[in-house]
Amino acid sequence: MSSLTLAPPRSAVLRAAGLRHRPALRTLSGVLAGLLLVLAVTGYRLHAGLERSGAQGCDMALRSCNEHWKDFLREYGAELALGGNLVYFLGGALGAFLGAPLLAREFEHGTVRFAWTQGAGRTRWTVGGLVLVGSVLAVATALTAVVLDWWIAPLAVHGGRFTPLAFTSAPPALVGRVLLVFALSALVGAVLRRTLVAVGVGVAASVVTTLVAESLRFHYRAPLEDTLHTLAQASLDHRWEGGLWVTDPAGERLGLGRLYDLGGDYYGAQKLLSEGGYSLHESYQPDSRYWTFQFVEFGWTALLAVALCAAAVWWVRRRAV
Amino acid sequence: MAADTVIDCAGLGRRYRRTWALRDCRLAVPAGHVVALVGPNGAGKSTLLGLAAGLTLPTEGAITVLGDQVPGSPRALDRIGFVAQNAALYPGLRVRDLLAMGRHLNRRWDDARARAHLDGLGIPRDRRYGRLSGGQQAQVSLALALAKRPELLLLDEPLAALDPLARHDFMAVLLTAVAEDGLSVVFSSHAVNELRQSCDYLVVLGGGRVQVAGEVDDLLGGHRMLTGPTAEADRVADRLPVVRDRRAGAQSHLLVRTGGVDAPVSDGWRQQRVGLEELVLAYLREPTASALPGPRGAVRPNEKVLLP
Repeated sequence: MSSLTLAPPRSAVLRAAGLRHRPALRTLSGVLAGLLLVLAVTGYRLHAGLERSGAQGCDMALRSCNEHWKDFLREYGAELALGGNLVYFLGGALGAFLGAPLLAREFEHGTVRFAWTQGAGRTRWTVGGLVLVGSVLAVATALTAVVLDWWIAPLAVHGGRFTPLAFTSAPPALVGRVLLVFALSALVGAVLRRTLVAVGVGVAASVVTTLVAESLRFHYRAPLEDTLHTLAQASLDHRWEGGLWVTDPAGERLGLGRLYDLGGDYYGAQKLLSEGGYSLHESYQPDSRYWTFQFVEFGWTALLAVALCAAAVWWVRRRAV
Repeated sequence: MAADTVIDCAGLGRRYRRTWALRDCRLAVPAGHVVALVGPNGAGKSTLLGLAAGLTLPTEGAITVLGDQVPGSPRALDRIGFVAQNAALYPGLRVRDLLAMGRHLNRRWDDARARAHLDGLGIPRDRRYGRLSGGQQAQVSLALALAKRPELLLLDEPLAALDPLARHDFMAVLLTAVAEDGLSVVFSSHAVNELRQSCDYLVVLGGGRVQVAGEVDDLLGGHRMLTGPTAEADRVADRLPVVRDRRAGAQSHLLVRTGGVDAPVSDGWRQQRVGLEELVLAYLREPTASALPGPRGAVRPNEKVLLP
């Protein structure tokens, strides 16, 4: 027999990983298929309700449009809020249920002693599992997020696409977050060797990641500024408003509350703005930046996921059984 | 070129937190043997096998397998089969999927052999691994290891959870593979009384150290159990390396190393050859005693050792 030793081809390792993780991937497909069915049925109701309410596409500056919107929210608001918040806080947890057992269960069941002593070696086996499951998870999440994005669209009709519940449901942001939680759960599972603990850490990470992303999001690009001379709602272009402040005629910055103090009431403050040389400034992100922001969020979360996967592989390479 | 040793280590140690599982292990196991690795729980058997399989890194010292191969390296992984304790495999996968996994993960793979092995034992390939009996699970693990056509097969307590019939079947398959392929086997076991028929080389680990290493026939031929008057026991013990010394009233029992000949003692002493189990138990009860081949053997001046 030849003494030359060649590693099995990468595709073969991926096929082996496919066999190993097939039960988990089948479960994922089943869960997502059920979820898509629920989303399709309830989403149809939401969109039909929005259409019926007359709030679809009307001008929010009009009082009647506002009333239609409130009618819609009275009937469907709870449903939208429940679904939106579930995705908002726990959407990433999908990654925890696949990431946590990926390595932890191998330790728990002792199957590493089989997998790591095959010709492919532990590094290629671990990389194969992470790549395969991560890729399938990303594609499945993206498909689900497309439907989810449609499902939650009524919420963004008047609040804009930057509304947190809507933004985090869109495919790039959700895929990035799911991958980040997946990678973190896999790493924690490898280090602690406990599937349940790793799932718990992953679910917690889903919430934390959402809150961290939301605190960073407005700063993905430098905001634009508008200068106004009225207190009336200035724009209905679905921009994401970041902050409001006032400058006096000398250009000194002061808060909106101070303007009300100076003007005495709303009308006095309005008069200072329109005739007194005071200006109202608004920082905002235009709606046109929506996809840029989606991909920035996907970018940093996915990069972090890759780094965490690399850390998991590093740990496995050094880890003793 | 075939390697002359399958496991060669010097000063090998492995520590888990503050506890040494294996310490100062010096061993050179020659190729072409069925090696029994015996010792009590916690003696370091699984640790030594894990180190040889590349699953664990040594804390100190060095180990090579199959000559000069580093454990865990691609070349070593291709040439070594490993069957873990409790034969842990994926319970949700069907046997045929496990075979496919093995085929995908190894360059050297004999699928026909694995199928023939399982079909010969009537193990259904479409059944999930978790639904097989303990004996069948062990056979699947052995089939996967043998399908790699390994030059060295490491088995970590493969018989521990098996009933006598399953043990017999397992050893029969194993010894057939040894006879057909000439592979070397190292397996750990508690079942000392069953080793005589299957192994021809013995390594005894006690307290994380190697106490005995050598061919079974040499070890059995090189020891005698001496039974005689206690009054003369000290004189005999001064002249011969005593492994175990038991004195009961007027009569004493001394297990001594004689180097393959009868011990030079007076007519008042009766000497008998010992069995493998008796020999192993005697060494395990005397942690300071050792019987190791030179020059690689760890021989200390204060140990009762007869050098060859």
